[in-house]
Amino acid sequence: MTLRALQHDYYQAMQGNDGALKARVQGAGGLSAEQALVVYRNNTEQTLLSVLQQTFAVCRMLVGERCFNQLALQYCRTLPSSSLDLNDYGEMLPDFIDQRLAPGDPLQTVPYLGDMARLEWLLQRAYYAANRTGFDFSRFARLTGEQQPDVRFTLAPDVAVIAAQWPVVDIWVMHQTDVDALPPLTVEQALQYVVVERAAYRPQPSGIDRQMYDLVRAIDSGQSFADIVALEPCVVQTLKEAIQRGWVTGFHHD
Amino acid sequence: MTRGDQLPVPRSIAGVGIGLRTPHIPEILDTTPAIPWFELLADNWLVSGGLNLDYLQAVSERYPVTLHGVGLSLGGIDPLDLDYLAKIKRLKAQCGAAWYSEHLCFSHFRRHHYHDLCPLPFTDEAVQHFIERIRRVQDFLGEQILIENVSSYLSYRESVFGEGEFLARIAEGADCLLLIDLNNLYVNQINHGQDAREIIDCLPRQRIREIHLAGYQEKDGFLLDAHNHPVAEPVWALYDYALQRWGQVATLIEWDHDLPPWSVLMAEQREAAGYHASALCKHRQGTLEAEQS
Repeated sequence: MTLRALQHDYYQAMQGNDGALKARVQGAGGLSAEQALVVYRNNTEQTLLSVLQQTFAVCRMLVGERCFNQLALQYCRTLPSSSLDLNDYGEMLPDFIDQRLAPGDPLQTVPYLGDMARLEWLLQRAYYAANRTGFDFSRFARLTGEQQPDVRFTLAPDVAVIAAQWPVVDIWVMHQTDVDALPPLTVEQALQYVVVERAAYRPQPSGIDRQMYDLVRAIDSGQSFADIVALEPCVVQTLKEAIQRGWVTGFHHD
Repeated sequence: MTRGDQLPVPRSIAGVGIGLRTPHIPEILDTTPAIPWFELLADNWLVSGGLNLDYLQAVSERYPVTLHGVGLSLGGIDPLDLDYLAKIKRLKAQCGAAWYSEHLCFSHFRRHHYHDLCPLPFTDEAVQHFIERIRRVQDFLGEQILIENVSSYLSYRESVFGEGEFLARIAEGADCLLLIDLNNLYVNQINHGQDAREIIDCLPRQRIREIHLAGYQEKDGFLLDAHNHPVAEPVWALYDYALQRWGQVATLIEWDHDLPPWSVLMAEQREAAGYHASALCKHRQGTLEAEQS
């Protein structure tokens, strides 16, 4: 049996099809071959589950330990890890939750769960993002009038925005304290624009206005300064504020 | 990068170190305990910013460190991930790690990552496969690496070597160094009926650079290499035996899950240091007796 065939069979076994490998292995101690393969399947699932529990801590509080673990294990079985870096795991959980928010599903009682997962994913990315560099004002001042319209700004590595259908910042803030002391949560649906950034090591979300949200989205999608101004002539003041806050840290032009 | 863009120079590794885990770092930096060295789980420190980057710098400025990896998949059949290895090389230079160690296992197949240490059969094909890949890694890094034996919950019927011979053949063929995890040897002894002392006896002493000690968990019918318990009595006995055979080898206390307070790890370190200190005279005495007989 070549190593290639063995590792293919091992992969099949980790998907639950252990027929080919089972004949070639013996379980440890009192385990059957089948039980030994279950140990390995569990190891992987428990590792991924632990990552999801840490990344989506508020989601876990919102639905409770048991419900979250069921959801997370379904996610692990549907979308196994495809990256060597465990910090990459969980990116699709918000969409996975949204797909579950159908009539009759128990998660429907927590309709803001997908938005909260989206927020927590960005907080996790912000935690590990590269450090910011300062905006080079003097270099920017040296740009000619012809160069300025072509400028494309760059965001700080930790900065990202979302438009949530629910007031997720408020819910998130409430869950940073002792959740057992919280009164029952009553949430009214309300659109909330949110920026996530890392300040003093700690990622934080905060509410922003629509104009700032549009600006950050435009910068993130690589639009030029001319394109951004064409969308919203008053954007210059918003851009200044974004630079002052350290959300825009660089620029380049063709 | 450290202050002034000066890369730290690797410092010597001796005595009993501890596997560094993030929740313990504030206390370590506050109290700077007398631990001779720390091992960094390399995959957790491939970061480009934030708190962990500053922790990395602070710890590596104060202590000698080594790097221990879990993601290389040395036994895998996919091409070696040279981007990952380049990151390891950069990290090693960044923190001045004395060496880099990895496991004799595979951990992914195509794009499916198990995040686990999956064993290979003890066959000649596997020996040659490991030798070829370890040599390529060493060429890329420009230095020898340490390879670690893994625990397992299954064995392959096609295996033709014992674990000791398997390890020795790979180490000799690849001209690499060895990190022997005594907890893994003991777990395999219970799980597969192999004799851990026999394995210790047949390993090439001159290639052994590090020992790992950790705690297993008793399950129904087998031992799980859980790294969430103190080092067990049979593993201490195996450590004593190994030190008598090998003399003083740099040793590490590993604890990865259900992390206890830092003081518990310090107590484990002190116990290991006691064995380590007495190993020199026992080893000398043993060598002398062997020479006289």
